[in-house]
Amino acid sequence: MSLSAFVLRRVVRGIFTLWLVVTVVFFALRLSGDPATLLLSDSATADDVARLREQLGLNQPLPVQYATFFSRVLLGADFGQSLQRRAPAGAVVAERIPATLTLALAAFALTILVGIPAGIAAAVRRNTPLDRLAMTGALLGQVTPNFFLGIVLVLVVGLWLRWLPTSGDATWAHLILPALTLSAYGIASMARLTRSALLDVVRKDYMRTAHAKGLSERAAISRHALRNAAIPVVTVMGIQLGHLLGGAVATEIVFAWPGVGRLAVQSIFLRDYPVVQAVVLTIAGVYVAINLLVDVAYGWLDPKIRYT
Amino acid sequence: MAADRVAVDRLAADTPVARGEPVPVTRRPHATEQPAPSLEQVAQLVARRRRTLRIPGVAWASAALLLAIVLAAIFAPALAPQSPYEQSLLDRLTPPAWQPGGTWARPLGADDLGRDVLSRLLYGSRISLLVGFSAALIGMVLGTSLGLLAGYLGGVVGDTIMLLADAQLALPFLVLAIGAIAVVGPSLGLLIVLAGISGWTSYARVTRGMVLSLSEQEFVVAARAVGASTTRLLVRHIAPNLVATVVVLATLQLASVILLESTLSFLGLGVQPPDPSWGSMLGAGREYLNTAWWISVFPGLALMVTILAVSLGGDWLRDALDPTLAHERL
Repeated sequence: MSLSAFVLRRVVRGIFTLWLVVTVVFFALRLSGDPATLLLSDSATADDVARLREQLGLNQPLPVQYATFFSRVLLGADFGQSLQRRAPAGAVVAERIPATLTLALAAFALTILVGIPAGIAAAVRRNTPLDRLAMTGALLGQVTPNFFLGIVLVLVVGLWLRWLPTSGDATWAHLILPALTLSAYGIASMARLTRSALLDVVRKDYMRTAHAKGLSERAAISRHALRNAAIPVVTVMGIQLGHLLGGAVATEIVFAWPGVGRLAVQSIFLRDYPVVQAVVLTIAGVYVAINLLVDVAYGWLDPKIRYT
Repeated sequence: MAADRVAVDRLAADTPVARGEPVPVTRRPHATEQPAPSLEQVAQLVARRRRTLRIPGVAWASAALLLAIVLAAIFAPALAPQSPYEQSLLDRLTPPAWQPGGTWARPLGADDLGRDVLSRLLYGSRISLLVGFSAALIGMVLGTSLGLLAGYLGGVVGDTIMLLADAQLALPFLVLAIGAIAVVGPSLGLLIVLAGISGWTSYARVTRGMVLSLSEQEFVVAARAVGASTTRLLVRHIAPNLVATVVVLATLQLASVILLESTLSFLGLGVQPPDPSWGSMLGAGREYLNTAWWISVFPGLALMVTILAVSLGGDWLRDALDPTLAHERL
């Protein structure tokens, strides 16, 4: 398959995914009862309900509503009005995106800067106490729910030691604990993956050749092993970035970080459905876009993947 | 025969063992990368297989832990010193027994409403396991049957099923769950359904792949040739071969389902007060972190230990029963 055909296929799949999400969101709201009564508070009068139905176009036939909803969301990024803020839901979400992006990128940097070196160190010194320590740490990092890790960090680093702030995003110091919490799982999986990818590679023939022609261990690892071990690691890096953007909900809640995940949970409690819907659709869109970029980059790096 | 003998000897002479070198231990050798195995190598492989089948300490430990958790859940009413719901304002925020001000009547302390933390922890294991097991079961039944259909029928039905699976995998499930809860409102039933739906994709993908390769095998072709119906083929000939794989997947899924339940409950979107769940206890204790760390730390530890036991057990089961699943680790 040529690269352009491969890219086209991935784009079509991404669009299909988005279409599915928009459709599910549309019908979920319609099937659960009258959206007008869901959107209004219990004290709303029959007149209010009628006015809102008119305003939302709910008195039109379902296919028409579906088409309107679809074109608004996909073409105009118009998710309706926030019920709490008297502002478009899309704008409410947009002002929270920089905070989530900062947190996700900081966590992503930690994942790479800590996880990959830890995995390399563990592989190079395999079966030593260092390796066992790193792998035990990685296992714990993978089984600890990130909201629990966050709470332990708030308790120990924030409340007992009083080293770092634990709430909000006022200064750069506020970023440290949430980024650490969010990246723990990624660091752990990246370290385990790098270690096993490198151990797979060091047994290959070209590594024996590298040693045979007299390269030092360091040169053989850095020039030959790392490059070949990088292929699975790069793929998972992309997946991790998506997870960080979509999975920051609990971390944002623990550290009162003003991002989109916290906005979504708060909006559920405030019954601000348009905002929840805007968050779900925004995150879905970002996630699909990242997956697409990763797929395309990977198909370009490694032509074998285009045929699977 | 003589020629064979020579060939085997020549191969055998070339192994690290014959050369007196230490044997590199590969955990999962790839058959395609190796030349025809010598007798020594076969013997080594058999020995290695025996070694993996001998149950290691880690697997025993995780099985023992899991058994303890299941027993705690079953016998919670007998083990719990108090009712998990009984409030006692005089005992608010009592610290654990070994701390100053603690009492053995409340071994792990009391929460902000004076409820016994240990009792709530014990009853909370029921929620985690109830949601975990029923959701894993829903995901297993849904995913395996859709995977069977997709693999055996193929065509439009198969493509649609796999497209749905790909679409779901292309999204963060927690965000979808939040969207659903926003519409329907939080409840235990919705929690179980959502957690069940979260896992079906892995089963469907693995089952479909296995069905595709099994349908080519002679015993299936033979059964079809003697006139077995599609249902009979699927139920009697193909499904039994999937059992080990599906059991391994279910164990691996259990950990992620328990994590999803506790995350949603922590956010206040899952199990609702006053019902005890480890996630919701953690969430409720957050406000008292400065004065009463025990309200949130003990449920967190319980959750961590449970997930650790389930994942270690699942990893071991996978290595022992079906090493081909290595990449399905979530």
